[in-house]
Amino acid sequence: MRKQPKNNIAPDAIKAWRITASIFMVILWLIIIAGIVVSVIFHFPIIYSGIGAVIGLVCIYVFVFLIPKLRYKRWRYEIFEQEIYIQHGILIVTRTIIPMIRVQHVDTEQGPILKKYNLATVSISTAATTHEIPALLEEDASQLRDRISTLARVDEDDV
Amino acid sequence: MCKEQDHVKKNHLEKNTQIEQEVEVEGHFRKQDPDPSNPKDSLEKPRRLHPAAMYFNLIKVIKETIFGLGIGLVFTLKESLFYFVIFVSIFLLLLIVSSVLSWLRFTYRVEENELRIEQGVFIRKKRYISINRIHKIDLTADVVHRLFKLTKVQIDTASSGDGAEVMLSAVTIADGARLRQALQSGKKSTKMEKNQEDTKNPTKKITWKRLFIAGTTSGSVGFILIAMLAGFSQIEDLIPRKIYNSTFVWITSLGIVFIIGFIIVGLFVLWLLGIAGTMIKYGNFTIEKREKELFIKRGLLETKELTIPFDRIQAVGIEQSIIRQPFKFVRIFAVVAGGSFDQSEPFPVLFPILREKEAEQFLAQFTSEHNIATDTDLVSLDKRGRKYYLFSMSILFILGLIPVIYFFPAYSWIPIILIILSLTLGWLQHKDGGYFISGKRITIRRRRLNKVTITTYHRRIQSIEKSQHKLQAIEKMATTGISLIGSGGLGTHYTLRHLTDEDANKIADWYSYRKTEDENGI
Repeated sequence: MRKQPKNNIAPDAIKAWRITASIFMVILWLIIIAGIVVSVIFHFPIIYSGIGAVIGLVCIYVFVFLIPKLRYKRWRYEIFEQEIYIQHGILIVTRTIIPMIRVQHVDTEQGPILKKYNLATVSISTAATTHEIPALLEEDASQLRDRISTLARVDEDDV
Repeated sequence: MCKEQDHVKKNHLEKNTQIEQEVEVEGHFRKQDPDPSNPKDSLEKPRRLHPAAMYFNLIKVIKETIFGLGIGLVFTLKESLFYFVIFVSIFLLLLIVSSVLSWLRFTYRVEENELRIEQGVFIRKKRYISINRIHKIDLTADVVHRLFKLTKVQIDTASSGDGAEVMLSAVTIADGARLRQALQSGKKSTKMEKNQEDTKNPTKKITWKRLFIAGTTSGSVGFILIAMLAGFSQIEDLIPRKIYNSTFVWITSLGIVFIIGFIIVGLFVLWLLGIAGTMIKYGNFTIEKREKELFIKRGLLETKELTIPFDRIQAVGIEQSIIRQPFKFVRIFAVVAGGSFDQSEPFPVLFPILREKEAEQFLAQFTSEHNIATDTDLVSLDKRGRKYYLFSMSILFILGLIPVIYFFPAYSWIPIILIILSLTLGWLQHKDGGYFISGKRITIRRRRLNKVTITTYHRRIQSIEKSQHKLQAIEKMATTGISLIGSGGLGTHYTLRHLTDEDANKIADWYSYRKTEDENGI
């Protein structure tokens, strides 16, 4: 666990995450604009809406520009013969080891945004936990899924 | 051999096929030779539950609907007494009819290595469970059961979720025991010759004195108090204002001495209740080690029999609550995979109270492979970690202190005491944290409020993770967590915070199957 895992996830992940974040930002800004309109109509002090707008701008910077980039930079994975090694996290970096023989099943999943960039999410489940590798290229994801499920054979050890 | 693995795998992959509902099974199952001396043959005929099951069903339905109906009842009662009576009697009549019908329709039998349940009045439901898939058979008898010499049977497979797979609400004790024997002997495992084993198996029974100590140190006063306060805030609105006010005036007129006396007496009564509760729950606690399982029997009013197969035990732990710490008493529990999730006891208690130094011997005797490393073996946390514990425990109270000093300076002693307590706890948390690796076994000790030491095996750990935040990374510290399978198929996680990076890597390398060049650090 000294070296970080080798493989990056697909670079398009940043774009996909930015779109997702933008959708939330649009909703947030609709609320902020509604707040401004209401305070203009009813002559509420505009200062609160102003603060809201500033926070909204900061949110756009943080969630749309900063976080996806950092998240991409941190997200790494590596598949070994006998285990899967994952690293993620922005402030708290977490590295996880999942032995192949503990893997119960592997899913790939694709929403509309990921689909646009031909990406897919792979989730790996053990009997106790589920781990996700987000936004891999579609063919990488299905390859990975197949590879894990062939490697994850039933072991002699009981659970 | 990999039967257990299959169970869990099934659990995830083929949950729906595990219990074959509405499936006509051809007779291609291994049929055991009929053995006339074996009482299980009589179980092959469909059997009904004991008629008392109707009563239990009635109670259950009433319990479930009382809140919803209660509102309706109150309204009708306000309108007129006549309608109220009619409403209630129709409801009861329907209930009784449906209870009788569902009792008539409910049958169980053991046939062709399967437990077959058929039930349902309008929608007939058949549930066939292969005996090999059954993990756990619990017999429970509450007061009413015991009155009629009955028992409740709960049968679990590996599938997740709360509640038992099959619940027979009332069968006679003899039938229950026979059913259990049939289901267990049906497994390909060795037969349980119960009467022979009883004599030679190691058993341990709780003494009355110990039970009393367990009660006095259970710390349930706090829980009861919180429950009562919560309950009170709920019913406060229902109490008429007038009574509430006059009581309040009456209490305040008594003077401070009386009030304090009142509180002390109240707490004492709660404490006694707590003792009684513990004694009722764990009275006659007996644990018996059988060939392939642990058998636990407990309870004064409600007797409960648990079987814990050894190969389902994921980890064994020792818990020392903060109240019991000065008296050096501990509690032994197990983390068991699968089965139904029991809210009141997610981890089955293997023994409710033991002296600290008896624990090791107990574990050696009953769960021989899960010996827990003693204090001296543990690698304790580096002192660099202490400040994180102190900080994370006390930060809330320190932040709370500022507004209190500002607004209510007279009360600033409250947060100060809390800060001191939380710092002490943080200090203890750091002092007690530690780990130990020996062969394929790992022991982790950590404290949140209570000190918990668990030991488990390499092959039981589902995944392991190491996390680092910025400060930890700079200081070469880390946090390590292991994940195990808990009851109800839910994961349970044990985290050891703020150990050195080196130790975290040691644990990770121990766990990792890959022995690569980055090994050379050790």
